[in-house]
This record gives sequence, C-alpha cells and structure tokens, in this order.
Amino acid sequence: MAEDADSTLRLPSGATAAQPSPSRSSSPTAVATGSTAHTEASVGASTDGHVLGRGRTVIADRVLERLAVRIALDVPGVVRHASGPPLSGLGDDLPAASAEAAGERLRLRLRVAVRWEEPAHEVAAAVRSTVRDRLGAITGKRVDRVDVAVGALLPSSRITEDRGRRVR
Amino acid sequence: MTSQDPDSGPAAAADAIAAALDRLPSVRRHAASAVGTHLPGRRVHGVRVHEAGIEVHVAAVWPTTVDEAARAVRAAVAPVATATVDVTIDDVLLDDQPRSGGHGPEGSATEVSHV
Repeated sequence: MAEDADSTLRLPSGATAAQPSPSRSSSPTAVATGSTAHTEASVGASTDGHVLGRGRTVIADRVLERLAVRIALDVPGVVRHASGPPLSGLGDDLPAASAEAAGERLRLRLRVAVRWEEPAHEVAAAVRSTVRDRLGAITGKRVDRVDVAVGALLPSSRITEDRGRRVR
Repeated sequence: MTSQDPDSGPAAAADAIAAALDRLPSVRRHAASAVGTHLPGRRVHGVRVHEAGIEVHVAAVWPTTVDEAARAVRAAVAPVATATVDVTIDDVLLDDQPRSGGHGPEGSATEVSHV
C-alpha cells in the first residue's frame, strides 16, 4: 500500500484550541479514483473449508469508529485528551472517529491529540497509514480514505498518562 | 411455528446457542444488544431464532478480527443448529475499558463479504 491515498491533514489555527471541525474542506466525495479494482470475493466462496451455514456478517459503524480510535492510540505521539468539564459530556474526547461505510469500502475521519514537540504531520501520517492497514486487516473492509485532523497539541504537563490501561 | 413446546423450538435453540457463544473467548453477548429472545422472565441477549435462520449479535473482543469472530460464532453454532447464521458485530470490547459497551438502538452498519 502506497503512502499516497488522497488524504488531508489539518491543523487548528490556534495551536491547542479544540477546533469545532470546519471539516469537509476539499472534496472528499470522488471516491478513490484510480483505485485498483479489488473485488473482494463475495459470499459463497467455496475455497475455505467450512461452509457452516453461511449467512451475512455485518459490522456496526460504531465498531469501526471505536476500533479506529483504539488503533490510533497505538501510534506514538497520539495521546488521549478530553476537553471540557469532566463528565459533562461537553467538549471533545480525542481521538474521535467517524466512519462512513458503503459495502466493502470505508472512509474515516479522525481527530487526534498529539503530544507537543512531536512533529504533528508525521504523527498524522503515521495515524493515517496505521489505521488504514490495521482497520482494514481487522474488518476485512477496504479503507479508501482516512482524513486526520490534529485537534490538539498538548504539552506533557497536560497529558494524563493512562497508566496500566494499555495491556499489550 | 407450531405449539411452543418448551423443550424444543426457538426458545430452547436460543438457549443452546447462547450457551455455545458464551464459551467463546473472542466474542461477548451483551444486554444492550438489539436482538434477543424473550423467554418467561428473562431475555437471551444477542440471539434470535426464526424460520429464516439465526441472528447473532455480539461484541468482538479486541484484538479479534471480524472474520475470526464471525467464524468462531458460526463454528460454535453449527453443532447446535443447522440454519443460516447472520452475525452482527455490534460492539467491540477494548482492552482499556472493562465495561461492555452497547448503546441503545444500533446505528448504521454494513455487511462484510466473505473472503
């Protein structure tokens, strides 16, 4: 997989400010123009041994989103960040993801918080490729596009390490 | 559908399927599941048996892949029931939050093709 996938990186104008998503910039609609015709074999493939009462397999979009968030957190430089008063439901919880799936294809928007002094564009690029590859592998869907926005840059003093929560 | 004999039919099948699913480490049934089978005094979460087949809704346990989870479900159900099994992965149990998620009515979802 090349590093090309047309994706965008946006930084908030005011460094740390959690920006209220002026997303939908460019024109993300023209889905993967030159994308290889990668027809994922459809149902009934007799190739795999067990044809135990087939049936459909469906993934809820929120599963895609939660997986994307989880995968993004594995990228070095990405940190959790909750803005707004605790438990108020206000503000943002980063990383945040929204997925748009159509059949086998998937588009994602991700907003992440990055540790200050990490090169944000490199972190964003790493998020993009990591999420694309791992989410594709986990869900079997083809991730056409991942838009990554850096929603916050945080100095170490504002990063609450969630110790012990990441079981590896 | 004929007379509801408690020892056969959808109710017993749902229980047997649920028991089989509960032995899988890669998936969890959860109470917020959109489908379930109502039995006197309780609900079998995540399993519904009807004439057209069996519906199973489960959360996948990270880092299980969707394909692994679906295969595990079908393999577990196979000895118990022969119908077609539709599997919906409606949540994921991440390693950083022990609670089982599952929020109300399910949002949109898409189908996965079998490779």
